Amino acid sequence: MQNIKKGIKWLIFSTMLYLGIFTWNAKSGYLDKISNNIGLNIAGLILYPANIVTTKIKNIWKSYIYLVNTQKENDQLKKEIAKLKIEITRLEIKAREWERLRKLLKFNPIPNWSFIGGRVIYHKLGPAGIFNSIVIDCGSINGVKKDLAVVTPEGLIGRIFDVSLMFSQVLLITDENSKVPVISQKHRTLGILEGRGTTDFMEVKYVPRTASVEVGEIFVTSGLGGVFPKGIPVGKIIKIEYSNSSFFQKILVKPLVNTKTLEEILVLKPNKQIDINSSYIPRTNH
Amino acid sequence: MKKLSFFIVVTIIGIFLQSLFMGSDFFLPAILLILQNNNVHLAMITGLGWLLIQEGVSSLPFGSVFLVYIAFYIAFYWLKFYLKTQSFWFVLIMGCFCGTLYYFSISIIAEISNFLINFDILTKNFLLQIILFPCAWMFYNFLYKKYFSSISNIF
Repeated sequence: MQNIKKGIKWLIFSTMLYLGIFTWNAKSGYLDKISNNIGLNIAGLILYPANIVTTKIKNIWKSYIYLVNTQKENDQLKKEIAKLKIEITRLEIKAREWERLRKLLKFNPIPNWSFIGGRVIYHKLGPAGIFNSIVIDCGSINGVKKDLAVVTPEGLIGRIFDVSLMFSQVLLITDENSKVPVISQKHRTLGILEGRGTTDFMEVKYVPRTASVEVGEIFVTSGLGGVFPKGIPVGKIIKIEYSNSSFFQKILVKPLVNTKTLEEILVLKPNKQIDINSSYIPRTNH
Repeated sequence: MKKLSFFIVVTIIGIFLQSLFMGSDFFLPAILLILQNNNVHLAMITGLGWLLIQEGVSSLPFGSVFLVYIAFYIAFYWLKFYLKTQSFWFVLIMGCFCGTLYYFSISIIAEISNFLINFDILTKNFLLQIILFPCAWMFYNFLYKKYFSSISNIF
C-alpha cells in the first residue's frame, strides 16, 4: 500500500515536472533549439554523403539496366557502346542538373528580396516527423531564419520551420498545418490556401460563394500575413464545388511544384526593412 | 572505445534506416538490446543522445519522443517482472509497446500544441514500427554479438 502511494506521488510529480518543462519550452523554445541543432545537423551530416552515394549508385544502376538492353548487338562493339552509353548517361544527368540550376539562376529577383540556393537532403525523418516536410542543406550559417519562404522557379513550396546551424526543415504547402494567404491571378479573389496532407491537391478556403474564380486559374501569394512576398505562383484550380450548407466555395488546387521529386530550392530572404508587398513576376509560364 | 563505436555505428545505421522507412524509430531496439545486456548506464547515455537526435528531426515541439523514451524504460523494468528479458516475446511486446507509445504521445503533443496531424500516416507508422522493431533488434543483436559483445557492464 505504501509503495502504491509512493508510486502515485512520483507519477504526479513526474507529470507536473514534464508539463512544466513542456510549457517552459513552448514559451522559450530553448530545448527545441538544442535538439534541432543536434538532430538536424547529425542527421544531415550522415545523410548528406549517403544521399550523394545513393544518387551515384542509382545512376550507375540505371546506366547498367540501359546497357543490358543494348548488349544483343555485336560483341566487339558492345564494350565500346557500353563505355559510350555510360558516358552519355552521365552527361545527360549532368545536362539535366545543369538545366535545373540554369533555371534557378534565371529566377527573377524580387525587389528587396535576395535568395539562398540549397539542395534537398531528405524528406521527413524519424517517428515524430509526421508533417509533410523536407530538410535542406542551408542553415543559420547561410542566413536562413524561421518562416522564410522556400520556392523553385515553378512556384512556392513552403516555409522554413526549424533551423539548425547547417540544415533547415521546410514545412511544405501540402501539409495540413500550412496556411498561405493567396489571391487568384485573373479575378483577384482572396482566400487561404491550406494543405490536405496529400501531395496531389490543396484547398483554398474562405472564398465566398459569390466570388468569381474559374477552373485552371492560378493562385498566387497575396503578400498578406507578412511571411510570403506577393505574387509567387502556388497552385492551379482543378475543381470548384458549391454546397448549400456553406457560405463558401470549396476550391481544390493542384500544387505547381511536385514536392516528391524536388532536388534544388531557393530560400527567399528579405533585405533590410522591405515592403512585403514587393511583387514577384514569375518567368515560367503556367 | 567500443561503447562509443557502438553508439556511432547504431546512430549511422539508425538514421539511414529512418530515411528509408519514414516514421519509424530505429534507436529504441538498440536501447532495448543494451538494457537486456544489463548495461543501464550505457542505455541512459546513448538513449539521451538518440533522444536529442529524434527530437531534433521531429516536426513537433520538444516532448513527444522524450515521453516515449521515459515510458519505454519504465515498461522495460515493469515487463521484466513477468517475462525473461532475453526471450523473443519480450522483444515483440516491447515493439508493440513502442508503436503504441508513439501513436499516443504524438497525438497528445500535437493536440496540446494545436497542430493538425494525419491519422492515416500515424496509423501506418504505428504498424510499421511494430513490424520493424523486432527486425531491427535482431540486426543489432547480430552486430552486438559479433563485434561489441565485450562491452563492459560496468560504466
